[in-house]
Amino acid sequence: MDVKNSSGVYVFSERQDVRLELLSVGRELAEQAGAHLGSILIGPNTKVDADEQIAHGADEVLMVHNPRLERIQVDLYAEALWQAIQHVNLDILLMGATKRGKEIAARLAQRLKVGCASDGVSLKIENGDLVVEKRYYGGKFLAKRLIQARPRMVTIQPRKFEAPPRDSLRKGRIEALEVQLKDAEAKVIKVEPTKRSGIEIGKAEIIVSVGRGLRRAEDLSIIQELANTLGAAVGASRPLTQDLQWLPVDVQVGLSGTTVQPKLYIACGISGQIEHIVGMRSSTIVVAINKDPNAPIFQEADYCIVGDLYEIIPALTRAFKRMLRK
Amino acid sequence: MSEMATKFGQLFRYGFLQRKVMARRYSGLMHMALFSGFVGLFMGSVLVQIDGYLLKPWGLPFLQGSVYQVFQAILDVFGLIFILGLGLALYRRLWIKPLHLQTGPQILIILFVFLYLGVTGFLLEGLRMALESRPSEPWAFAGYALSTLIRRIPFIDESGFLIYRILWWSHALVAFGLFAAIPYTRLAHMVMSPLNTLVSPSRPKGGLRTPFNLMKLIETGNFDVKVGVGRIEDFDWKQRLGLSACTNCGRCQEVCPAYATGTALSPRRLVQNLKRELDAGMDRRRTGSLFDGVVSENEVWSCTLCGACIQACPVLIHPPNYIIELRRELVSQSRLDRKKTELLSNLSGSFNPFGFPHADRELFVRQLGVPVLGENPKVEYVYWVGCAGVYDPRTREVVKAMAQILKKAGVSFGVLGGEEKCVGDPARRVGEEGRFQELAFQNLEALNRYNVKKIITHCPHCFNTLKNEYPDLGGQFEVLHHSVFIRDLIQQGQITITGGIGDKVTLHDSCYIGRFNGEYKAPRDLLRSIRDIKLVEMPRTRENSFCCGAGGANYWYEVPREVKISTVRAQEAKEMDAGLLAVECPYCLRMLGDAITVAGLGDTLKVKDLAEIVAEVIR
Amino acid sequence: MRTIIVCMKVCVDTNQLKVAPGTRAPNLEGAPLRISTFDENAIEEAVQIKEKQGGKVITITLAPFLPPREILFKALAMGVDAAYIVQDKVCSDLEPLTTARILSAGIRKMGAFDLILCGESSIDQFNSQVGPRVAIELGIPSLTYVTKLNVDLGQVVVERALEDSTETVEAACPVLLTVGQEINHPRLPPVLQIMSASRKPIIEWRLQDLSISPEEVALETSLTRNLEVYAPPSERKRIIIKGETVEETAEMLARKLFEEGVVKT
Repeated sequence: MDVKNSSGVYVFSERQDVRLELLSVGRELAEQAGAHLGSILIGPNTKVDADEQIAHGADEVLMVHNPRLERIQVDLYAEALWQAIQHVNLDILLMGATKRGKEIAARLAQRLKVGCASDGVSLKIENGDLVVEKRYYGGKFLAKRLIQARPRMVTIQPRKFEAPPRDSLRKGRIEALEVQLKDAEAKVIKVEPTKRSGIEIGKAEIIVSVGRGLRRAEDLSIIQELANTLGAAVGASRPLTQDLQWLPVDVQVGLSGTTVQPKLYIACGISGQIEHIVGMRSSTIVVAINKDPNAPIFQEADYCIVGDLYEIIPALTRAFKRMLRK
Repeated sequence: MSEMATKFGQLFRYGFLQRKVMARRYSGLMHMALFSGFVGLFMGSVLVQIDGYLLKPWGLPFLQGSVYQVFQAILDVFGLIFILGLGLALYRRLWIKPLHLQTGPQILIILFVFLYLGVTGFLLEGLRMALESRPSEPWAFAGYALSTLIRRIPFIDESGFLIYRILWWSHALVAFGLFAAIPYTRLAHMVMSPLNTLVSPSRPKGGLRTPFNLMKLIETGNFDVKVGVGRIEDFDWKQRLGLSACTNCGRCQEVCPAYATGTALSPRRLVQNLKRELDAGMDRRRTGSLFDGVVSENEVWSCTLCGACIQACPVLIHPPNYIIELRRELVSQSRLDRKKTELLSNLSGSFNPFGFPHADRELFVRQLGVPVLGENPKVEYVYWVGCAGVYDPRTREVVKAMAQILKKAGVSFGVLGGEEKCVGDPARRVGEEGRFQELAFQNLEALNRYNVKKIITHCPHCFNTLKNEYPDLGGQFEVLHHSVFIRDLIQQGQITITGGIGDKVTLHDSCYIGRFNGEYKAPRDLLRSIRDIKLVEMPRTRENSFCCGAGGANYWYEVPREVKISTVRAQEAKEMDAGLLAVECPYCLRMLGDAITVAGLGDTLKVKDLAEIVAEVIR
Repeated sequence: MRTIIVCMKVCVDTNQLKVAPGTRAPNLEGAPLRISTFDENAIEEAVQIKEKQGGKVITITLAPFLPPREILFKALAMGVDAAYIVQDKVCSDLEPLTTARILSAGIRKMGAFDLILCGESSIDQFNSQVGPRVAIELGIPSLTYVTKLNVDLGQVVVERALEDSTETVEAACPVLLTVGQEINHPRLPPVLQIMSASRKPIIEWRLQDLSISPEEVALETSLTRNLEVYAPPSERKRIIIKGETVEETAEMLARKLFEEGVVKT
């Protein structure tokens, strides 16, 4: 691909895994737009990282350096990204919709005086215009949005797309860029890693998830018992993790948590706010248990039980134990 | 005029006849003895003074001859009764030591001082008889007996008069001292408690006081109304009198379900703390809020407004009155936790405490296949379905049963469907009067538009609010609880009982139908009209019924506690060895049903509403 | 503490939004409105600071029409001192770019401030963009996903909740912060206080008051616009499982899941 003379679809994320996912959707758009595919690496990245980008489909890798980029701070990264894109022929910029990613995107977009479609679900070029499908009205609806202002920016949720296949024989251009940065606008005094449960909820095959229907933290034991019987991971909605902190944040399923794709998702006492639905929509089979016959979760479930989880869950555990013994 | 008569009737019944005090055998007897002895002796002394100083100089003494003899005998009886009462009181405080009774130096001093007066009274009488050479007065039997003993004392002839004088003066001084101490000690109850029986309602009152009228405020545009009480001086005079009347007897605490389950609330402690604050005097009074050290938030939220304390209080104090005012204060300061905020938010936004869509009300009644008032405006009765009836799957069964019964009986009825909103009871009980009235006025608009006269409901909370609280806001209806209505249908032969139960059944009296509205007979008549039934009464039954724990909006939030109220009551039901626990309220149905399930008793003890029970046995 | 500005969005209550049968478009007519949930947390935080340190709390709202009075009174009853509404009918479905520009113009018109508080995202779009964009426009630092806030003598110290860590960060005022629902529990004022709050000022501005022309806005909006908004049909089976008893129901479900092959023997 002639990088110098064509416009580019560029991807950026501070996370390696997300970067690769962006490359796959980036490649499709690049083909449709007749553009090349680039990846922008910011911070302490090495040539090995750059090679990985190329192996996964990037035609060009821009490595941006500055000692102040050692630890990610959004204002500095946004500034670095701003300077970086001055050096390329930017047509479309795809960014990972992590919390930091979304903020960097917003800052950059404001400086570029363009919009940015958040949480794009599907993207394609139609008659030269970028059409992005994204969630609308809390996520219950989808909007097909036409983006004409350039450069065109979209943020994409992690795990929405799969990383492209690796081809170690691929070749591409690597360019290094030294940027000038001022002091950060805020001082980070302390960083405390989030308590991790060690469970990779994103990879679990069966998830038993619990929501506000649970009255006390002690009652988690009935959920855990069901999960143990099925060999499942325990997930939770936002109120139980971030708010009440009955469970660690890394098992939170939802828009601001993790998006999961299990074979079986059992939602216990979860009402089905769209924030949560968005996180488990891709499950193969969804079971919902809720006291409220009109809970929105039932619209997104294959099997619905209207009942008290305090009665149903132990009964389910018993039923499964019986069946599994056979 | 008749109101005055009622009030004085109360004073007589509760202040003089001590009817409620006598509800407990030992302490009732003890207090009656103290009270009647004291009153008798006091009146006796007064009569002696009147006779001696007023009538004698005019030559009209009446305490002479046989009159005097009878008089003396009667006084001796009173004196003995008095001392008996003191004996019972001291024994109780020093030997029996019931847990709820707080015995401090003040009460012991008072009792011993009284004992001193009582004993010296007799000594004086005996001494006088021993010293005076009057014709013997065997009528004054106690004094007479004592005098014969005294005459035997060797030094009596020399020192007798001196001893008499000393005893007389000490008796008089101590008596006057005691009188002077009345306002500063618990003896104040001798004045305050009877006064309270004059002004306080003698029974638990279902309707709470309405502090303002929202419609009128909207008209004037002035919303600066003080709602709730945060400082002791903001209680009105009746409420303050109630506080002063408290004798710290502890009966309210004995029957309080919140206390029994280890919550922060003891009605006795609450009233006493408020009383202490009231008595503290202007200078020592806290200038901050009552919540800064006199009462706690948890205390105030733990009350289920069951009225057991009102029932038990011998001097007609209503602790829930104070609790509601304190809750109103917390609401005005927005000191509500998430659950309470959600409750109010749901009531305002979806018109039901669950927060489920309002549209479901119309959908449900359509599914049920009952006449809707919008299309059948001329029906005789409105069946008020309530919120649990629509949104709680368990209570829906009760509604289905009701619909069945009403149809079979050929009753002309209709439901409001989507025009029905929560009566507002949870909002009012939590202390948010504004949201309660918003709902009430909306319901009243619909009810008055259809010119509704009679309402049937299966829910005691809806019943109570519609009957006792809506009139304050402009709606007077004949409201019937389904226990009464169904019982009448059976008795009038509009439905025929063809089946039986074949088991022991026990009835849980709901707080709002029982204590607050006085109906105990109808559910029992109803059950007895079913064949093959053995009705057994739990130990805490009728007006002594033990709350299921859902009242006072407690269903919608949690307070720190050791054990659930519903668990305690479910245990009591289990011990009756009945197969069926009959309830008359959807809250009780839910609370007791859940408690029984959690305890693993669901197979041996079933919980059903009266309507369900009847629907199963009629043709 | 002088002034705290809260960006308050009044939007459709997405939980009560219904799907029009047939077109599957959102049924916006008559859909109830509410203050975006996280913005209520922002208001609550601002009011709590005012209660401790004094100052004024002002809200600024951008809307196509004046929001229902009860909603504004609720914010005022929570403790907001004045509510500013920038209102023009083109201000509907705006890109965060435009929203941020207009809000920033409004904030500049208000004068000096110490803090701007926003919800981390709005409940109808979940873009999470407006907060940082306004900060860029105004040239002030922005700190997002704040779960704890401490402000003293012109400095803020916050805790931010990120996916992998919690950061404690310090910055100098004026600064913009975005908050989520974990930071506090927004108070629900009693109805009487909400009605009382009707006496507090509600000030309406047009775009022209901010030297912005509606035509500019319309043009910007046309560059990024919705071609279609619809509710994707859910392919879920929505089979209700109900047995006579709880045990039976559980048994039925367990069997079904075995049949589906999602539970391993």
